[in-house]
Amino acid sequence: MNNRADTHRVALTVNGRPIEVNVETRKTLADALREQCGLTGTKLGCEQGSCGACTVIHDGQQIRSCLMFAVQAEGADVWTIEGLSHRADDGQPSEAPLPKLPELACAFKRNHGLQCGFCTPGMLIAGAALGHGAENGLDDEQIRDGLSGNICRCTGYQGIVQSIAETFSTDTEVDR
Amino acid sequence: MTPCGPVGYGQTLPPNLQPVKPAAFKYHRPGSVAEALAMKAAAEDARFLAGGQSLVPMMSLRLAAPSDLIDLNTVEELAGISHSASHVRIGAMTRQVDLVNDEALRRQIPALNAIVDSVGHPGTRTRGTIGGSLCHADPSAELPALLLAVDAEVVIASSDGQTRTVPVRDFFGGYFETTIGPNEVLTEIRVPVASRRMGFHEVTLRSDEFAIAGAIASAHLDTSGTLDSLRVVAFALSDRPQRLPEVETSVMNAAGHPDSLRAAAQLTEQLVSPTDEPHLSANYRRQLSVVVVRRALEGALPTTLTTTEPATTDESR
Amino acid sequence: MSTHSDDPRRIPRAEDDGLLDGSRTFIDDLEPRGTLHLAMVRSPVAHARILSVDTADALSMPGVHAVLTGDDIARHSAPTPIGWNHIPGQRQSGSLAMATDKARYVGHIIAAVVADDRAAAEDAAEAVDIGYDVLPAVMNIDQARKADAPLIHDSWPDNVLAIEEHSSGEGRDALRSASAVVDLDLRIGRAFGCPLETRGVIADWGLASKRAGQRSGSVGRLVVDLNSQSPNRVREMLAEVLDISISDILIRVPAIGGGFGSKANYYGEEIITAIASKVCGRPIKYIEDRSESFVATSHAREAQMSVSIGADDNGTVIAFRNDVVGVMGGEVSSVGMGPVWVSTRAGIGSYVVPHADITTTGVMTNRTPFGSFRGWGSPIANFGIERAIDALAEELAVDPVELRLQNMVRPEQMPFPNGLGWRLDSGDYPEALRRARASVTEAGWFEEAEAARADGRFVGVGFANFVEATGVGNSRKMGALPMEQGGFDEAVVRMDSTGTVQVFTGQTAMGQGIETTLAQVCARALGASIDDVRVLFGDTDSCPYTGYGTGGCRTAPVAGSSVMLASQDLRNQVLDVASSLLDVPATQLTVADSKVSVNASSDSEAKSVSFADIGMAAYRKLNHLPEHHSPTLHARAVWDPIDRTIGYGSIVVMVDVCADTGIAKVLRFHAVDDCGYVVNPAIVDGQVMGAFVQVLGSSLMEEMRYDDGGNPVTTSFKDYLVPLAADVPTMSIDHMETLPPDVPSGSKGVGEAGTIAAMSAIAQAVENALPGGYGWIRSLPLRPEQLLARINRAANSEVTR
Repeated sequence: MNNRADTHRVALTVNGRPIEVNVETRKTLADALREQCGLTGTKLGCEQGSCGACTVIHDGQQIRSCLMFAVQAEGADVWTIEGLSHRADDGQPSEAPLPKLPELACAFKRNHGLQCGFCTPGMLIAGAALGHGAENGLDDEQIRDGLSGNICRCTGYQGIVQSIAETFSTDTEVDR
Repeated sequence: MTPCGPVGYGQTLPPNLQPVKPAAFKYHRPGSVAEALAMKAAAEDARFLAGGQSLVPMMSLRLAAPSDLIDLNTVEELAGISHSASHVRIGAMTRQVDLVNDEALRRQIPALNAIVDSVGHPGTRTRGTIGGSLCHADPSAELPALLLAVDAEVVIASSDGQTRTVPVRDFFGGYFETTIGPNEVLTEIRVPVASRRMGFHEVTLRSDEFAIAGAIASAHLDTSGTLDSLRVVAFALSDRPQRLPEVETSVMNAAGHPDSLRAAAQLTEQLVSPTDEPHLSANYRRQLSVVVVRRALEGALPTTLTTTEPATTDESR
Repeated sequence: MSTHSDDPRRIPRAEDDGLLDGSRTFIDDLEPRGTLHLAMVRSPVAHARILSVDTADALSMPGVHAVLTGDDIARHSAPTPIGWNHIPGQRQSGSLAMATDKARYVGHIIAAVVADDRAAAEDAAEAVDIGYDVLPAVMNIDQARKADAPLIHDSWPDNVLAIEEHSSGEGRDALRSASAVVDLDLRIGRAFGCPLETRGVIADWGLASKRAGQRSGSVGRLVVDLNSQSPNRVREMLAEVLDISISDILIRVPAIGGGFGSKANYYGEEIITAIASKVCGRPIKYIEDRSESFVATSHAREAQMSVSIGADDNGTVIAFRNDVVGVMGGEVSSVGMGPVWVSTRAGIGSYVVPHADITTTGVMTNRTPFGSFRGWGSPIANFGIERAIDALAEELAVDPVELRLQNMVRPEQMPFPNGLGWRLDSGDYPEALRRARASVTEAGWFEEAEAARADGRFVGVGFANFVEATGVGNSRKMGALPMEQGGFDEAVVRMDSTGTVQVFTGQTAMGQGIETTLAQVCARALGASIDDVRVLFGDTDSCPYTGYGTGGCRTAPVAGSSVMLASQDLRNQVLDVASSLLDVPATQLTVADSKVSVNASSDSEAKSVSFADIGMAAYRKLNHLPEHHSPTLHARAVWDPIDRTIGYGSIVVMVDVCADTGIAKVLRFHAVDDCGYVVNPAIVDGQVMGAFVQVLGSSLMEEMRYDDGGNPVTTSFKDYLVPLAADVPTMSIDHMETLPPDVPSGSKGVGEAGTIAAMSAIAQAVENALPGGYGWIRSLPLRPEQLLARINRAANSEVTR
């Protein structure tokens, strides 16, 4: 209680744009993204690191934004669902990581891979990160094991697993 | 020492509240180990922040409320893996995901992929560190058990400028406790270079969750393929990862004959001391201890010890 | 085993785009300017008299605006009404939204702190000093029913909330004439809906303080943003406890991150947040945190049953009795003991049982209140009857599937009054089971299980049937019960001057896809292109009234019917205007794809007008609007169900029990489901699969547990284990589409279908996998230890099936 309002100024890049935020030390990266950057696509399902809804990309890797203090993000390159979903339409290559995430999102829509949508941003990022690292495609078991950190309470996972399989299949003849 | 309990496993929340936001604290960003130790010594009730994958949720629940956090993520000298003829040196702040990205380390520790895959989730392994996992001293954690199985030692630096080296077996003080002093920090883990065959098995109540029983076996075979030495470690079955010398001796005395593994594993039941919970009895976990040790032994020891075919690690649950 | 991959009804969902890119707004994404934050101070003890609440230290802390205690709540509100107060003699607690005299469960709200942000509120919550006189905790049925049991509610003579008995034929006396009788005691563990998004509320009653004293009787307007499945129920409840008019309350519902019944109940937090706003004159936001959710959101399912079933020599079931006791919490939730009581109607499931006798009793304990969770009481009732039939099959040494087929209600008996007050309205129940068996046989499940067993594994297949009461009504019959809640649904459908159609519904979206489903219903009835239909919901000012809210599988049968009827009305209006524009009688016109065309004629170029033309003629360029047609295109319809419509089906699971650990895993799932007309197969399948997986959880791993002192020990996702992707099998669903006779939309509800029979099927599959016959699993969730002991006993004694 005696340390109230220890705040730091933190400079980082979010979705490709450099920003500076003033954060109380006890605010997590998720808090800063949601409250100070207005990026509410990053969801908080537990704030204990157990559900995966707050997954973002931090320096190229998926992390749980509820398990990192915002003050630790000094100099970091952070991408949220908002930045990962929207690609420039001018034909320029996007600097965003996980280039297949928009395609995975389309597959979610096609395969009913979401219902309430609360886990979806985290699930898309975790799924795209999983697929991104798998050059030889993924089988059903690898996908299910690879989603061990993301809870979906609505779908029973079937459409999610199918979407990841289709998006990252090495077989180009997948039936759409 | 890491005196706080885990998140999960029936943790009763503190009186009067179910908090979600951490108590306030001061944040420090050291540039070196020496600076980190000095910052900690100067603060009232400081804690080191490693990967934060256990400490941050504990703070969010206010099961931990340090006055100051010393962030080791900014200490570059603490991260990285290097190989010498005798040892692999792993910096305490090396991320769990970077362990499996090191091909030479994977060769040293054949079960590494399977074991690291069981640590947390893909989204926590990118932040979680090997040193953090060791210092958290969760008895159900895989990495402390692994380091005991491969006979690692840890290097601990002190605020007085001294360092000491401690075998992993002497590092743990009990349930979520280590023997690190308040003015010390874990800097490095040293794994002796050896030709190992390993087996790993754990049981979880859900496809992915804290282990309720686990074991790692590490065998050395000589050039002729004869069993030279064996280390067997059980975890999640006592207040710390536990080596099982009686099991090792039994297997060694039978020269690792496949038929001996079952009988040797059976000894585990009397060696471990799991806690008794209404939905998960100690008796059941003793039964599981036999299963995990048997499976770990089967993974480490080839069915015929003269073959040189690499053993597979068993990830099934 | 088709899941309709090519079905044209399987269109993508309208709601998906904004969820996929994170742009859709959930409750915690909202924060009006000037919002203050609320943290609850909850009881750490299960049962205690509250001696004192000292808020002085908390109030002096930085950023703190107010600390509310039970006294404040008593000053500003009346006791919370019980919505399901429907059983004669049901006891009344008169409890307020916050504990005043006693704490009755861990998590019971004792005080609430308002501060600048949540962290500051939590800092101050730690400083609220509460004196307790701790009383013995009453944690189970035995403790609660002892003669000298401590009373949880001091004014009651005992700890029983209510008892209802219901029987048909000669009731349990008929068991005496049966030649085979089996008795069994069953137990179901405590579960909860556990949506990934916790509950949250933002209340803004700021005008109350600003206007105070200006105008006599003026209370300003209470605006509440809330992730509730039942906004109209909350509105009525708030009006009642705060003593203001319903029209002075606006409830708005943002996107909801899953409800599963737990958000159909209303809660004290809504009342407390509103009062906090009144006291502070600022918008107040409360978001339940994850740990709180395990003690603050309604628990469900926990029950004990004592069951008897009797059959004649041929295996025909004659009589059934079930004494169900529900393990209520320390306070009564908004649904009373409704979920337990349902067994009195649903207790005999899909079967012809001439003599049945069901009693249901709600026993209070010092646990979190018991409320709604997908399936309500149907999974409890199902476990009773389906387990009894399995045990009977064992007793008679017959195949449990054959015994079911022999006793199921047959299609020629429809509509079939089950004797307990339910009318099973339509369908071919035995065909669903036969079809399920044929499908899995063809898919090789039995060979696979056989081969696994030959290999020393323990793999089995289990079947169960279910009935699902959906589309609850009718409102006049409900009104005859001691409850104030109808079952009708109102819909408004409008077309604008560009030909775009808006459907206004009182239903609430929480992931089940109503924005797509109801748009499809409207498009089909109206002849609109699906892209031209928008569904609007979640605003009690502009959306119609639906008393029951979204629950009980009502959207497709009840809201679907009201939307369909309104859309048909609008279609007639569209035809009327088109007839005038085209100068062709309406009888010669066809509406399709947002266009009205003259029926095929010799004229090669068929004349048509678009919805946009028609909209323009009704709103902006009215010279061709018929004299008898008033401007605008607007239709309203109310559908009050004639009766429930009963969905049904059969499910099959294949389970593997690990020989080393006793841990069971579901390998395969197949369902045959009949929910009438399937509006969108993808959405329907998603409902069935998602529901099944939730009960897979409560069969194998999920359970809310307490220690002997009444402390909950499952307060995180690390303890309350909901299934992950790797715990879940690949699932397939087959549909029968029997149109119910009394439902205009032709659809039955389906949201609960996957939950109801899952426990029963999993239990039977595990028994099929292990030695020992059928009917010995009496308690769920399964304990691996128990299964392992059975495996080891069998290995020792070489017992084989």
